[in-house]
Amino acid sequence: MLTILSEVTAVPACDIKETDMLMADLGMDSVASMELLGMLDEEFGVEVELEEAQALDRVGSILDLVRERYVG
Amino acid sequence: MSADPQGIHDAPIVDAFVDAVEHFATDHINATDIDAKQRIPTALLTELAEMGLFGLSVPEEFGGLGLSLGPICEVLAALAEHDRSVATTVGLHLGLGTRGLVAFADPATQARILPGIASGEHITAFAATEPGAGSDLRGVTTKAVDNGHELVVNGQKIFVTNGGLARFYTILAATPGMGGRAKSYSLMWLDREDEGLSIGPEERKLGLKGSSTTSLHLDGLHVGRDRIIGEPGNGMEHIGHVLAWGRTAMASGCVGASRRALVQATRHVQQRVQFGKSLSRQAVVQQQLADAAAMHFAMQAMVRHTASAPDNESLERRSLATKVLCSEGNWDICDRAVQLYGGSGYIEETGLPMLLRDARITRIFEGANDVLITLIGTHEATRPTGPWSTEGPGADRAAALCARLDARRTDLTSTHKIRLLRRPRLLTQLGRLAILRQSMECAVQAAHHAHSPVATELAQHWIHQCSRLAAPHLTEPQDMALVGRIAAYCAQEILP
Repeated sequence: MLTILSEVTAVPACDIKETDMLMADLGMDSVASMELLGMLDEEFGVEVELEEAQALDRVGSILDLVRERYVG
Repeated sequence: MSADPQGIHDAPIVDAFVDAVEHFATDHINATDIDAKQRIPTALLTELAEMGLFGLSVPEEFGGLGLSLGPICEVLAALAEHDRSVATTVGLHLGLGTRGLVAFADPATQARILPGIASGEHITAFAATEPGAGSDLRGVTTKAVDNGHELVVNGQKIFVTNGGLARFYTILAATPGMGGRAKSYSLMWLDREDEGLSIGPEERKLGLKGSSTTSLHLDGLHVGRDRIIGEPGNGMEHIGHVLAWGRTAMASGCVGASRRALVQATRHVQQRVQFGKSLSRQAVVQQQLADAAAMHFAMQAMVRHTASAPDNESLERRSLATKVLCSEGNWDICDRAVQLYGGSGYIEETGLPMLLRDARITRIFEGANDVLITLIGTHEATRPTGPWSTEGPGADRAAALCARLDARRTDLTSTHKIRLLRRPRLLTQLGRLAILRQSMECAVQAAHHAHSPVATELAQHWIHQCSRLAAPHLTEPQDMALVGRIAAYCAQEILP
């Protein structure tokens, strides 16, 4: 998961914290953060409703979602 | 951050300025000469400064007129009707070049540099694009690093409008660690006289030949921390507001230049006789004029609606569709004008080739349209526009079309769910539909307020055009596998 985040943001995975905000701290824009959620679906099969996507603005909230829904 | 809704008290000033600009431009601006010599005469810039044009967007306390975006757009449209290079030079200064300083700079910086900017003594520029970062500004590699005493800036900017004329440059730089963020960007201002700043040669361009476009080389500049504009590390948020201003100002230039093309083409078809009657009486020609006039009406309505946005979020979202529609409309109307002129439309002396050349860049700069349309589609997928609620001429028909657009969005979001955000072709469809919807709302609203039969019929005709323009985006796009294979043939250079 952190590898994908690092790939999208170009921030080293070791520098990414659960408390980081996607836009403010990792420099993502709205398109990149939405694309990230699309990647989660394709890579991990983690389905996110479009209505839910707006609320996912923190690394921790995305990690929680993956932990909750990933059935690998 | 307020988007500075247009104030009623500005109206007399705007009317006076638009009149003054039109009179001045008629007598003093020779667009053909500027285009041929590829520069704006210094004396002309001085006269424009004396008129107060460079201070329109600067607050009164610093010597400007402190106009909001709406009135500024009206003045820029008037200027663009006479010469696009001049309008671009002034518009870039008023919008992208100055907006960050006015909205976010600290009071000491404002007191220091805004008076010279307002008087026109110092022209401004904006530098974000780099060789490796265009529409994706997160790719900027220009860095400002805090060495404990000051900022050290290194990097290169390209395609800097006003680059060769400016004294002050607003730039976007990566500022790693600034603001406590792992990845951060900041807006900064630089002075042409900063040691280490050098300006590249003038670019030779397809159009806007009189405007200055250069590169900017930043080699080890040592500048104070007070060069950061706004909150350190918050550059991406700030630049969103600045770009929204710039896009809207640029779109107003599209409105002015399109008006000139439309007026000129109309006069030509009235005079030209073919097959025994005036071209203006031929049904095919009338169709061209009507389509262009309705599109121009929608473009103007969108600019006014965007410039009067009640808050920054609305301004940023509206400005995307406005930029796309106005730049495409500008090209379309100028292209129609050339066609209506026949062979003589291809001759430079008519001025139409220049209008067409000048229009082309507007679909590229200030955010390439292809990227913006996808972004609009993303917004539409995740934060859909509410149901149609605008009243006015043509509202019923527009609402019916809008219902079809909404149905398409519902279909796409329910079928693809979050994966829709990784389907650029589908996002493009949603983006296109959202642009048309916004344009219809603006046109209907403008006609409603105009209380004029002409405006009513222009709005009705625009809605009719929107039905046609929406059609390709209401069904599944072409087979992507086929498109991908043909693109691969191109890449392999195996085309017959």
